[in-house]
Amino acid sequence: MRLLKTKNLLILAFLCLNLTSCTFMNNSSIVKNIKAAHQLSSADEQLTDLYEKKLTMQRKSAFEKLNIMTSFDSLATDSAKAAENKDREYKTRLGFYRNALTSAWQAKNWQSINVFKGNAEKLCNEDAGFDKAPRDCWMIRVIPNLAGLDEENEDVTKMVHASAQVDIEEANKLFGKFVFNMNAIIASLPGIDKSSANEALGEHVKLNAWKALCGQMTTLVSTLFPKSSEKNQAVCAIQDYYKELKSMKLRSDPPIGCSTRVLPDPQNAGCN
Amino acid sequence: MNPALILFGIKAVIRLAKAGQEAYSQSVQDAPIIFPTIDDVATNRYSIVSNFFKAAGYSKYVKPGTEYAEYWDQTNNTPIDVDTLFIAVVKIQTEDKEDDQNGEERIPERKETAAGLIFVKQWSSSTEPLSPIAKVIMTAGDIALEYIGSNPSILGVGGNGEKLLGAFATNLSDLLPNNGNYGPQERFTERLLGVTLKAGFKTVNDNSEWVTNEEHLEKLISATVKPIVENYPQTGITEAMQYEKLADVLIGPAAGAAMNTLAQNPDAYFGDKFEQGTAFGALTKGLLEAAAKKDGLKDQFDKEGLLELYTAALDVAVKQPEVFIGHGAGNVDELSRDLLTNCATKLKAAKPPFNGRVGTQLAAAVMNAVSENAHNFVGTGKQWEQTAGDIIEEITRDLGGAFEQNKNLKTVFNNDQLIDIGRIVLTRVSSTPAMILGPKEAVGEVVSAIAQAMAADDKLLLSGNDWIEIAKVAANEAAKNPARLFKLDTTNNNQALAADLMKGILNKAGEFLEQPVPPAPQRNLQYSVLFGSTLKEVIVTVIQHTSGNPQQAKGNQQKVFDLIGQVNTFVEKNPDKFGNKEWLKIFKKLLSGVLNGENPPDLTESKALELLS
Repeated sequence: MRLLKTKNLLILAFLCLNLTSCTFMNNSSIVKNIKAAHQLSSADEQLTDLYEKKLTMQRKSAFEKLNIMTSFDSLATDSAKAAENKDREYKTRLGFYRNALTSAWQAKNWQSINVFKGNAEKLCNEDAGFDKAPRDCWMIRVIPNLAGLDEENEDVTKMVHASAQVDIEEANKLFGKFVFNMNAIIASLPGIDKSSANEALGEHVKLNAWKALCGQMTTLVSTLFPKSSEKNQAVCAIQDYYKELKSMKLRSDPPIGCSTRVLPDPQNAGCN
Repeated sequence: MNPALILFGIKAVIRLAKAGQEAYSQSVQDAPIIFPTIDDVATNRYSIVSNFFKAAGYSKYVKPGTEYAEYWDQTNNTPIDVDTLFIAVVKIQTEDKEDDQNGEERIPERKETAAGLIFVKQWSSSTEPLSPIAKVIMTAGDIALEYIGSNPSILGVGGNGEKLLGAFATNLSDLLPNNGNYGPQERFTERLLGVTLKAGFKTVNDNSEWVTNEEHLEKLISATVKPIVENYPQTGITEAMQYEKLADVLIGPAAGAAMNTLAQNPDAYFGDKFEQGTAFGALTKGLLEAAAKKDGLKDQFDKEGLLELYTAALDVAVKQPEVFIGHGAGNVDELSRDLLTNCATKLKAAKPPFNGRVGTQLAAAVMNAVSENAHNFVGTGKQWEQTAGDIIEEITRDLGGAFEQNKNLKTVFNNDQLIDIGRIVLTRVSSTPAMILGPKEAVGEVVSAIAQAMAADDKLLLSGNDWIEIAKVAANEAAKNPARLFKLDTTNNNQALAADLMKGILNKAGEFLEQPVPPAPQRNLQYSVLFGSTLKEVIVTVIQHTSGNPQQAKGNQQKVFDLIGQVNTFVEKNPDKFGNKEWLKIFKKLLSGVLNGENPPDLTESKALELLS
């Protein structure tokens, strides 16, 4: 297929060479647009490289981890800056914002996400971005919530490793943040499903929701919530999310490792 | 892929311009991009066990009366024996998997999901993006466009731009796979080729008269890029990142320097072999290795300094490729790395003012002078690249030491004069094989003697140009009479006759300058003329008269100083009849006798006139 595309390009080029109207125009905007697209392509390649490195970094030294996080952070800054350049093509700018938000998420730079998301969403709504670049705009919408889950997960991880008893108020507050982000993510799924974004987008947003439910939220409730009526409510909320996600389209089955068996036991919680 | 096809593609892209840009932009905007997944909870063993037995499907295993009940606190619903229960978790999960082959509520994960790498395209339709090779072609077109904008003839038929694109296309075809399966190394290669192409266009643009051929350019690009790609670290994320960072900083300027060196030396590389290509490649590899040794180019001098050394080495390589790849030159990679690393290390440690650009320019002069005599090193057990580093160290240490001791010197010399001193000594001395191959290089001895004298000139009686003249004569005499004037005994560091003579003359001249201004009735006693060009001439004359017979000079050293004192006192007392010209004539007439052991005669007006007649 790729070969075919290259061939097409070359055939097109050949045809063009024979047409006087196609001779080279000294148009600086062409060069600018090519440069911007090339920059976006490089930024996306860099993001992929860094993410691959992040996935293998569990056994790496703290220095190496820091190196990767710093690289994510500077990529986020560069891409956001590129996105703000109004001379660039609309879709290229959206691509830069998507790259900036993804990179900031991976850099765990919550502050940058807050800064970028407003401008990025505004740009999506400015010129029918959800139609012109559906994947990028839907990612721009859901990434802040996915990053929010990771931010809360850091607190869960800290609590799991801390010996001190967790009080109900703190656990409740944390669970509330999870609920906020989960609600936003689940609410976005029907919109993604109806859009012309690639099918894989909805599947993977949903996959993330499953992971949050069976990993982060379940750990919080099972390990850290003291026995209380609030805990029972949280257990029941997890059950409800499970049912809701399962009932949705978009590759509805939960992935391996995420079944009703691993969720907190609803029997004693008095769930409906 | 066929290079002609790639070349055609690049040209086509340039023609296509707008259509190409839109296609390219579209392909980039819609290309699959990474979609991360949220983090896992970093759990400990206690929470794994606790979560597992509180879960709906597994709480039954710790209910009262069951197999693991005794390890579970029924009242608080928490684990008692975490280790035993952890083993139980592993056992239950294993059994579960076997029972669960039908996948009750589960579906197998996609391969890419399991690996954590999820790519999402923009559109649900099957709009395929351009292949990577097409993207590289686009990038090349992008680079070419930049130059065509300002110089439309650059791609004229048979022009250098076309040859350059042809050379680029061949390398692209050799170095990148056709299947479009690009990993980090291929993306790195693509970037390097792009940077090289850009440097090439700049050189073509800046050197419109340059006559080259496609084959040479092809070999040059290959020689520059290939060794760097081959050295790409295959293991270790940090190593790869550091390597890329170094290459990104250095390869653009390095490729530019290599192309420019060729453009500036068109006659040096005609012929079929183009041996310079091998040396260029080895030097570029050596540049990266030297930079890596310098702890990642921490400051600007390191980068600029290394690139200047690299450019100087390229100059040697283009003019004398045989010193890199000729018989007896050894391994070209090791030689190139050692040359750059040695010189860079010595310069890094050099004293001011040689720790900056003056040092690197001096190093370039050293490389040229030593490499021109590299044939003298064959079979001596001494490597020219090592000697170059040693000589840089000696010159910068000795002259730098003089500046350290005599702080006023910096007002006397400008940077060019400093480099000239080193260059003059090197050029004149290094042509005498014994002088660069001895136990202590004569270059160092000459420079050391001059440096000692410079340090002694605390009253700044001589200018920078005067010192250059002295250096010329000293180097000439040293070359004509090796191991005589500057070191009577090579095992005794204290025996440096030339240095002692120069210091003695400077001291004598200084004494006259320190005399108080005479009161009015004694106005016949005038100021000394023993400074500047006269003093320089005295030093030069003494060096020339003593170089052939140092033992004689050593024995009569004091008499020479006394003669200087007498002549100067006489000229001072007779300012209306005798000036600096007469001073020098009288001194030259009497010097030979003094060196033969005669005492300086008492100078009277009639005696002086007799000597001048």
